Amino acid sequence: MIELHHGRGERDASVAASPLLRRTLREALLAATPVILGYLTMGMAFGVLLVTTVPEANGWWCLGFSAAALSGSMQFASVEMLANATTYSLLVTAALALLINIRYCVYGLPFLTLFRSYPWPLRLFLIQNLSDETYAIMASSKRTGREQCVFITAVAALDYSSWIAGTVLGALVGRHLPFSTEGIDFAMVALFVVILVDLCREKVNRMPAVIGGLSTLLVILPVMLLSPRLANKTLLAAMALMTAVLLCQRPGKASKETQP
Amino acid sequence: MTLHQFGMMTVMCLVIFLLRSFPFLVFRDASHNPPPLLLYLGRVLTAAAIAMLVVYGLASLCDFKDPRFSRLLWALPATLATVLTQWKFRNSLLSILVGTGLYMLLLQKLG
Repeated sequence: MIELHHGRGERDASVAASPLLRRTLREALLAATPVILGYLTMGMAFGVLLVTTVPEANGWWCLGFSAAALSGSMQFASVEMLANATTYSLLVTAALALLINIRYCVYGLPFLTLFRSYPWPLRLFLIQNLSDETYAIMASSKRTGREQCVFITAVAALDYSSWIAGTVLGALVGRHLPFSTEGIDFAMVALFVVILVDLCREKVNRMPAVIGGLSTLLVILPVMLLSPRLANKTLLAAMALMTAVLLCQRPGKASKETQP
Repeated sequence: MTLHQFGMMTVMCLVIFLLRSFPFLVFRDASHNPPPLLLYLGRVLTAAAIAMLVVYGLASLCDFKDPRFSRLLWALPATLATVLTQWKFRNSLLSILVGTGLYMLLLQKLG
């Protein structure tokens, strides 16, 4: 069990006084630096995209949305949806959020016991911070006890605040950029392409990716050709189709599959 | 902000937080093995959903309300550039910058 008198920990005088914890904080900053830089820039891209696509949006949106969601892929996908909000029902929104972020439902598994030993506000904060990047750093930390607590909390706080700061900054400068932003909506596609390329480096992800892409194409192509206005109603059908195909495909694959 | 937009963002955030807290709500401790179906879906659906977003994102570039299919013509080399840059350099920011820059350039110069 860990005694926690210092909330987030990193700025407490008694903690800073200890050389061990000071070193832990330095390690946390070092481990988080690539993520901080990435979150700041990707966050800015999101902020710019949001305010140039959704006329009503501003920095306050980013502040609230980023703090509550902390999901790059979801937030980027939401831009087009928020711009055409009337065509997306809350049900479709929920289904899409479920599918895009389904991977998060296993991220907590390595931390079941650890997080339960922390006071509940910190536990909630750390659960909220189970993003791809922060999860990766947390899961690879082999520290124990108080050191582990300070390390993962510091990494989470640094990553979290840089994502929020990046998106707010992007929203503030977005409408004052000295060049035309026409076509910046491609940044969303580019982000997903990049994630997909990295996923496809692992062979096990290739077939699901092909199934997902083809299912969507199969549903959206006829609609685009016949009645493009209805195209943003196709997501639910595409999601249902790919889930069905993936479920059907599972038994045959199960024998060949090995966990990484 | 319309009420519906606020509702959409709230729903997304709620779903995300529930997903992240899912293991803590369902499993007592680490000795509980999660069902294989959940692990399978958690893994395969991510790749499938991201691929869906690539296709859907490309389609939505055309603007559904006033379709301009010519945009797909510029999206093709931009997508290719993004894929190649990422495959070779493994630098997400660089790849996104290259792809988006190329697309914006083509679109703004050539319509």
